[in-house]
Amino acid sequence: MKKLIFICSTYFTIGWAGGIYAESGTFKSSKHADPGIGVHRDTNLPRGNCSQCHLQHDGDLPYDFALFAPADNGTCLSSGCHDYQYQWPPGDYYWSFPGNTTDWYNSAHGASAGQFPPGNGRQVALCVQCHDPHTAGDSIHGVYPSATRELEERGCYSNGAIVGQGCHGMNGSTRPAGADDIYSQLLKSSRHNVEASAKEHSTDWQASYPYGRESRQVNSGHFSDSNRHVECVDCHNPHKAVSGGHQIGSNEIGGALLGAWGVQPSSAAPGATPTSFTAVDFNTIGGSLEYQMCYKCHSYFAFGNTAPSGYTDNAREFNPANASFHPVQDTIPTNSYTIQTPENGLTQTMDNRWNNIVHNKMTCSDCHASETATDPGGPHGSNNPYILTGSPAATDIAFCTSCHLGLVYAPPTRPIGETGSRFDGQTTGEEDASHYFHVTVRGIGCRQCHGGRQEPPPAQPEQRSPYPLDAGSAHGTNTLVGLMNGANISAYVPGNCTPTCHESITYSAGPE
Amino acid sequence: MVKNSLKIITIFMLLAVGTVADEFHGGGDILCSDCHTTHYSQSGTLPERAEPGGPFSDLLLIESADRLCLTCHDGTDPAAPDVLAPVAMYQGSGSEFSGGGFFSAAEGLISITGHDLGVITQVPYSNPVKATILSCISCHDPHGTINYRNLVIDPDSSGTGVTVGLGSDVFEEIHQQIPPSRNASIGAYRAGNIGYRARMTEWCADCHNILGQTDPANPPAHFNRHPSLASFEPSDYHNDPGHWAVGIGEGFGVATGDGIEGIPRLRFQAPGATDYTSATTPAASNQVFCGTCHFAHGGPFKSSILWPFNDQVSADLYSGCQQCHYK
Repeated sequence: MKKLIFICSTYFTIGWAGGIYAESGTFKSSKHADPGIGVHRDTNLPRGNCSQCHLQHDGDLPYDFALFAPADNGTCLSSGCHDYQYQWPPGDYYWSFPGNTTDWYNSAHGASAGQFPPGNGRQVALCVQCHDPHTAGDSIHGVYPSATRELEERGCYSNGAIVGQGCHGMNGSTRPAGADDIYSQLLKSSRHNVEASAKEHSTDWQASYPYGRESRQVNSGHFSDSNRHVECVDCHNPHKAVSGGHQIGSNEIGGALLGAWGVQPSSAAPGATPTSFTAVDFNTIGGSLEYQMCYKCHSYFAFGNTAPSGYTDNAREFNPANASFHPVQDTIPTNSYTIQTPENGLTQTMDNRWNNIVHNKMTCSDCHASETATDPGGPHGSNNPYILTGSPAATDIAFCTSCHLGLVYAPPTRPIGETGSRFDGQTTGEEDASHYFHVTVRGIGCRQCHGGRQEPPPAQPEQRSPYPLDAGSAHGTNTLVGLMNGANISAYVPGNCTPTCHESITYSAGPE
Repeated sequence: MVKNSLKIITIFMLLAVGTVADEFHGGGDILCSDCHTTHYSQSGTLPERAEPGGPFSDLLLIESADRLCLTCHDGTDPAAPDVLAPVAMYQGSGSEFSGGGFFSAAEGLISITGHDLGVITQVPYSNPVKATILSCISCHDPHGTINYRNLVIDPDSSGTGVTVGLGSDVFEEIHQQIPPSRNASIGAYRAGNIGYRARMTEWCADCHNILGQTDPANPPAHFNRHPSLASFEPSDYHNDPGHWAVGIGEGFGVATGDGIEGIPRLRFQAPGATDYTSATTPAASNQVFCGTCHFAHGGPFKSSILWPFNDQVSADLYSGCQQCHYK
């Protein structure tokens, strides 16, 4: 009995205290130990045998952990095991696109001079910072995919079992040099909730699919219904991503998305939903377009015709064949008032960030990101709905005027001459038919006239308060040109507007 | 003739003062004439059990010491541990790591599953590298020593001895004399009858001297080869003392090679042990030693490892490692 008590007390004291044994028998279920695909560096030994890596009594030279080679990345990358790149069959995508060793050493992680935890001498670039060659797991989720030390996204911002204290955690003292605090973004009220699901990439993990997979086929079910998910690696390839956001005015990806993948929709008729897609690997920044990544989850590609509640088909909304849209997927055909043209007197109408030579396109993350400009870029989280940088409320103009110059679209005083907008007194010939009168004088919000609804509200009875907004309606519409699908616009053509606020007005519209 | 006479005199003097053997081959469990003959006759009738072609060195009945030992230790004598394959003596005993394992051949063959008898081999992990012809008496003194199991005191004959004392470094549950005896069982040799405290690795490392050091490594590694005489402590030694202590689950089983993952608990040293019970109590302070992973003589698996670690993929591939490391 005393012996039993001793054994039990030892177990509870040493074995369970702190829960440090995250491996706890997971190795046999790992890919390294798999009888079919496991480690086989030494063909004289059984596949997956511990001695494939650990030489027990050391080999010709003694290395740390009794490894067959120095305990650095060379053990993994120069051993004949992970020297070049993984393979995958067509049709399926093995996250997280491992790339190759050159990519790795050029990546933000692979080239990092930082240490984690800072000051302990262990480089961020070590494979074993993120991967446990023995594989880890827990009693709830089982073995973690890809031999990560933590369950998927937690590996990015956790330190062991301490959530939020990792490389991309909220504690500046534990973040390596150059690493952003992403965890704080993911705690916000609106966020890509990476904690909401787990192991979606590896639900079919088996020997023939060793790295987990997501189908690259349209409406495969891997992105919808119970499989709908988002993880860090859905957008970021930790083996290939480089630092940096996208170039404002372009719709190409930033370096942080390099190595991920997206889908390019085939062209569709105006107002139609694209139903055909081509998978695109983000091998280079040039030619890799951010919306392609977003469409992977926010289009017919992910969920077919049935969008999850609260979501819309972004590929339909940004369809370049539509009557009007924000230039996320392509440029606006008639863009004479959002850039400096002779038609608007060469007047700057956009914020300086867009006032450059590639100012005619944008990305989803231009609008969907933290509400705080100094936070890390990207749609990780925001305290505004829909992960927006500003309030989407119909009567709130701050969100829109962060890009569209307030001096043009909400001039504080009555403009004397050309504002650069098509809708000013100089162009329309009527002082009331102007942004100044509507926005500044009457306090009409941007979305009461622009990007508020997909279906126009009825003209009668007269209503000045905004009709309910439709999510995604600011993306684009085939209902009205000029994104005049506002919450209070029943009908519009250039030169004639029928709002719900007053009777139809005819005015002089500027040239396209 | 003079030399042989001196040996005979020596033998009788030893018997006269009582045996020096603390373990077997003493106390009447064996007779001088079991191994020696004083009057080997080439022209007359050979002594009982003698091999033709004598007389032999040391007045042995059989020219080869190894073959002489194996006349009893080949499984034919139920009171002597069987150390020559095939071994059935311990099957079903629940103590399969008994008797130091077994040799694959009497002598003259190089095997990959254990020590080789009567053939020149390079001593693994020796510095300087040396070659030797290993014999039973390289490790055991049949006349007895103060060491456990009659182990020789200076295996590499370097002049520096290693004592492994029964009752101080190794403990037995059953007194060494009762049994075995000529009329008793092999119970004394069962692995489950033995508890280790210290010195076993030191003794092996007398020849395999490279492995006598537990080389430190750079953090977070602790060693650059599998350590010996290391315990589970401190707690960051990349093992699982709780799993070891409980002894249930992965790594632990009833028998090796039964198709079910798990093998009997591996042997260990308990550095603070004072008796058999404390020497066989699993604890975080238990130490790994050579015998934890290897049979002294040999076994069914490559490298004399107690489980099929270097053999084909099997249910027990990781069992030995997992008992401590539980990865």
